[in-house]
Formats: sequence, C-alpha cells, structure tokens
Amino acid sequence: MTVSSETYRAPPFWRRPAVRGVLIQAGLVLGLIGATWFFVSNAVVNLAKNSLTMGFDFLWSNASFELGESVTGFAAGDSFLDAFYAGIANTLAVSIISIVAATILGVVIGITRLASNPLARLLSGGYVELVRNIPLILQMMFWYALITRSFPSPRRALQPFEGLFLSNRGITFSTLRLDALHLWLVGGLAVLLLVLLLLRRPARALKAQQLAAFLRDPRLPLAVLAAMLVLVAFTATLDVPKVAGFNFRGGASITPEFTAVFFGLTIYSAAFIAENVRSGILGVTRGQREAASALGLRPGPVMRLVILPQALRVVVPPLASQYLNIVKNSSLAVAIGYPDIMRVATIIISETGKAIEVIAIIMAIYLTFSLIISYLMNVYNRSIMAKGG
Amino acid sequence: MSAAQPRGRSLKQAARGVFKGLFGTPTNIVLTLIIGALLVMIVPTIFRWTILDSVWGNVGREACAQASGACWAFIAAKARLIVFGRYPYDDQWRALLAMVIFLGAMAFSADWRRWRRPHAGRTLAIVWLIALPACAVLMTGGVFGLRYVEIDRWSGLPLTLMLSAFGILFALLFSILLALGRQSKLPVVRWICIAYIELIRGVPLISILFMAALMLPIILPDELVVSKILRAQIAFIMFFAAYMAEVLRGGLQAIGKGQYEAADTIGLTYWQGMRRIILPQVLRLTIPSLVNIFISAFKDTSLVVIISMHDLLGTTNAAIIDPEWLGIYVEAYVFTAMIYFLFCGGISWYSQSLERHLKSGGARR
Repeated sequence: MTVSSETYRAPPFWRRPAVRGVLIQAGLVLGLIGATWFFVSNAVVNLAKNSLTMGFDFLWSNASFELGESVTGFAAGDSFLDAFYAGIANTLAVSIISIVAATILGVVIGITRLASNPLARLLSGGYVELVRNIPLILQMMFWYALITRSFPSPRRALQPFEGLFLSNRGITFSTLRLDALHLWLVGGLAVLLLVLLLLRRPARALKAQQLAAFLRDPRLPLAVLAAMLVLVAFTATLDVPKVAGFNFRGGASITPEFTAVFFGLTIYSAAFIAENVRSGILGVTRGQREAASALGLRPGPVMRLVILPQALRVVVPPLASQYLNIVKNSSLAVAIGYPDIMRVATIIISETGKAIEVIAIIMAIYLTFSLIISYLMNVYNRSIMAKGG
Repeated sequence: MSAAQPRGRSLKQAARGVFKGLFGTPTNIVLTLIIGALLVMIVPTIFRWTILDSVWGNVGREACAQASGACWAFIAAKARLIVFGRYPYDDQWRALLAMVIFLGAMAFSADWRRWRRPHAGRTLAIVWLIALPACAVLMTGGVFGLRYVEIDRWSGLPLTLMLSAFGILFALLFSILLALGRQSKLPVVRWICIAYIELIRGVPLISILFMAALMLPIILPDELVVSKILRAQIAFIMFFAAYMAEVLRGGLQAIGKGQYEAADTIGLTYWQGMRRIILPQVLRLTIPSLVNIFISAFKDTSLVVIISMHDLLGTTNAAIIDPEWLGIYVEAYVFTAMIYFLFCGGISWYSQSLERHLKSGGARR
C-alpha cells in the first residue's frame, strides 16, 4: 500500500460516529418493530385459519382435566387460572424441599472433598464427577423407572422400618393424628419454644440479671420440648397405612413422580453446590486456618468458627444461582409427568391451543422467581457488606 | 505430568501420608471404618451385577431370564437402535461414518501443537470445509447413489452431536455480538442486549424449546416454518448464547483499559481491535467458564425428548419400552449415561489440559 499524498478530506457525514450511532439505533428499533409486526400479523392469520383467537379470557373458563397431585387441591372443573396456581404450588413444593436437601448434601460433600481422609476424598470426588457429567433428565427418568418398575406392589412393599413403606406407588408412611384442641396446644408450645430460642442471644444484654439468667437457662427450652413430646405421646393416635386393594389407605404418601423429581434435583444439584462450597473453603487463605490452629482450636471448631463463616460470603452468590437453577430445572419434571407449572402449561396448550399466551405466562412466572431470588440475594449481600464484609 | 507430583517424595513417604490420612486421628479412623464397611457392602454387589452374574453377547432375552445380574444382551441387541435411532437401518453405516469424520475433524483441530504451525488457520479451514459437507452428504444422501434420508429421521447420538456442536458454535458467535452489544456506548443497543440476556437467563430451557416447537409455527408464515430439529437447534443457540455472553462480559471487563486504548492508538477500527487484540485475550481468560457451559449444553440437548424428539436419551427410552424385553431399563440408562459421561468428561479433561498449556505458553510469548 502506498501512502497517498492527497489532502485530507473529511469523511462523509454518515461515517461520523455520532451520526452512525443514531442511524444504527434507529435501524435496530425499526427492525424490532417490523419483526414484531411481522410475527403478530402472521399469528393473526394462522390463528384465524384454525378459528382461534388471542387473549387471556380462557383463564377464567373451566378446565376439564385432573392433575396427578396438587398441593392446592386442584380438581377438574376449576378454572385454568386455578390450574396455573396448582402448577406454581407444585413447582415450589418440589423446589423448596430439593433446595433444603441439596444444600445439606452439597455442604457435606463439599467439606468431604477437602477432608484429610483419602477414602472420603475419593468417594466424594467420584460422586461429583459422576453426577455432574450425566444429564439431569436422564437421572430423573432413571429414578422414576426404578420406582415404578422395580419397586414391589403395595402388597409386598419394602418396609425399612415400622410404618414406612416403599412400593411402586411411591413412599407411604405413618402420620400422627391429633384432634383440634391438642393440635392448638402443641402448636402454641412450638411457638413458645421458638420464641425462647430466639430470645437467648438478646437476653444476654438484659439489665435484669435474674430474668436474663432465667431466659438463658438451657433447661427452659428443654422443659417446653419435653412438655410437647409428652402431650403428643399421650394424645396423638398413629395413622398407620394399610394395604387396601391395590393401594394403601391411611397415612400419608409421596408419589413416585414427586420422589423421582426430588431425588434427581437433590442428587444433581448437590454436586454443583459441593463444588461451590469447596472453592469457597479453598478461597479462605491458609493463614486463617493456621492462625486458628495456633490458637489451639481443634479441626472441628476451626472449620465451624473460622473457615465456614468466611467461606459463606464467597459461597452465597453462586449458591443463590444454584437455587435458581433448581427452580428452573424442576421444569424437567414435565418429562416424567409430575404436574409442575410446565406440565400444567403443556396440558392447557393441548386443551385450548393458546400456545402464545400460555408460554408468555410461564415465562413471566419464571422471570418472577428469578427476580425474587436475585432480590433476596442482593439483600443478603448488602447485610454482609454492612457487617464489614 | 511429573511436574504435578511433589519432587523428592518417595513412594514410601506417599504411602505413609495415605496411612496417616486413613488412621491418623480418631475421626479419620471412624470415617475410614464407616466408608470401608459401605464399600465392602456395595462394591461386591455392583461387581457381581455388572460382571460376574451378567449376560454378555447378543444372545437374546431368554438367556437373561436365568441370570441375576445385568442383561448386557439387551444392549447388544439394542445398541444400534440407541445410537442411531430412527435412521434407516441399512444406511446406519453412513451415520457412523459421518460421526467418525466429524469427531476426527474435532480431534484434528483440538491438537494445539498444530495451531502454531504456518498456515494453521488455512489447514483447519480446509479440513472443516471437507469434513462438514462430507457429513452432510452422508447424513442426507440423495447424491452419489445414496438414499435420501429426511432430516426428521436423524436421531440418536448423531442428532445429539449435531445439536450440541452447532448449538455451541453458533451460540458462541452470537454471544460475542451480545457481549459486545452489552458494553456498547449506544444505549439502544445496550438495552436490547441486556433485555435479551436477562430474559433468556431467567427462564428454563424447556420454555424456549416449547417456543420453538409450539410458538414458531404460529408466528411464522407456513413457508418459513422449518423442520422441528432445526427449530430446536435455533432454540439451543438462542438459549446458550445468553449464558456465554454473560461469561464473555466478565472477560471483557477483566481486560485492562490500556489494551482498548492501544488498539485505538495504532489505528485499528473497532472490529479490527476486537478481533486481533481484545477477543483473543477474552477467550483465553474465559475458557474454564465457557467449557462449563459447553458441557451443560451437551447434557441439555437431552431436553429435546420433552418435545418428543429422538436424541440419544429419546432412543434409549424407545428401546426400553419394547415389550419383548420387558423390565430391562437399568442397563439401557447405564449405557447412555456412560456415553454422556465419556463426552462430558472428555471435554472437561481437554479444557483443563488446554488451560495448562495456555498458561505455560502464555508467559513465553
């Protein structure tokens, strides 16, 4: 390339950054409007061909389907809106229980991965590698097949211990039944116990020495707990499930679908949570551990009092996104027929043909979940920062 | 690998370390005993089931009825169904050959020693320009006397590989645009990219797949509606691009301001600077996180079973409902799980060694 000796010419006006920026943005906006108009006009044409209309009025008309299980007690004849509520409740039910279980399992495995015992390290490392590299949906289908195909019929149900039955109808277990009066009494005692436990720390700052000593006496909550247990033991009746025909009667049961989704979500997510916990612990500098040991703390308290509180700050943000993943991944339940929000949505689409509306609704629902979890996350982060994190 | 081992440590010392870990403290003794007891209970059972009491070879259903272990005869009988699915039985060699060519080209490109050689880019381009059309011709047919196979019959492992490979490639390209757009000085561009990324990241993949399967046919004119497989492919690209864009954004923010200014100073245009200075560094920085997304993309292609397509998991489900082999499913899921495990494990092993290589080579350059 030769250097030209031409005199400098200003670039044409459309090459000027400011003008180009405006042009690009205007083009994008026009493109978006055009695409939306294109999609909507096509939708109108295509829907008219099948004599369908757009709109959300269908939400108030009656649904004619049943759901396999429903926390809210949905039944055929309720409105589609109720069906959505039932789906949301089912999604939340399985997600929250899986979040709790996966957190416990994940923390245990994450700590075990850094244990001094090589056997424990090997086992937890193998667990993480195996579980992470197999699709969640395959794991859920496996658990579902295991329960429905390999577990015995209710008549021959496995009974690991008295009152717990494993069969191809899911997990059935005995429940305690209290009449209304005693239920209120036990509930009141439980609230009292909770209040007492919550008061223990603030009680330290109380001026009245006697009251403080009374509130901090460990025998007090124990006494309340004992009272509760005695009350339950003497007034509750045990509702033991019995085989009747092809199923159980009495007790409470968890369906195979719920169990499979719960197992799948818990086992899969625990592997990811374990990795977060592990990297959080590794993130706490070596000096902290050594300083704690130098103070004479034993390995257990070192972990509990020094390492974990610091690791927690690093772990919480990725943990929150794991929780969000659990909520989103619970939508895989649709593959094995657990009536979560996604399953409800597919049923409604096939009943009404309102694909656009229903997909818009489920997206809005999941976006709401995401926003709530990231909001809680921000609140937590701010509280940590306020403590001087 | 010798560098990974601490130097001057004899085997005896290592053994002593392991022994101390196992029995050094009371807690460890208890742990060792508990885990040991568990292993003693479980390992022999698994070993008996998979190896000792199992039935091997294509020997049919009856042979399995007597055995108490795994019925690998089921896999022997159904392997072709699981791997190739609904692809015409007599033409499955074509799908196999296409996979071999594809994976061969992948392995060829993955060797980083080749990347520094002269004309490396041209060599790789030629390899792929031969490999991809060859795969397409083999899979589709219709020329050279090969029977035509319509795209909706592609299934099993070839479909999983296609969905994930093209999904990852095009999602990566799209995500670069999204990440750059998110950093743009033009507010409209920035807002659109942010809205897109956050919207997609807030919803589950299935809802995007449902959009592709159920909504696209409504909002597009009939002549533009492509086959279901391609629609699922588009859904994957759209979905994973948002996650990759978020990773790339982190990389873009980690690059020092001086690099951007240097690119401007030597007179590169925006795109030249990005391509030659910024993006190579960003990609190198973000390899570990990107690979995690690649792996989940590979696993998540299995979600297409929900919109009733027959990828590897779909064909596995199709295999276990055969009434002739009633009650056999564990073997099938184990087989398929192992295929996923090998691919995902392979990808993560490769990325770790690539990362090590770039770390050691990055300092030298």
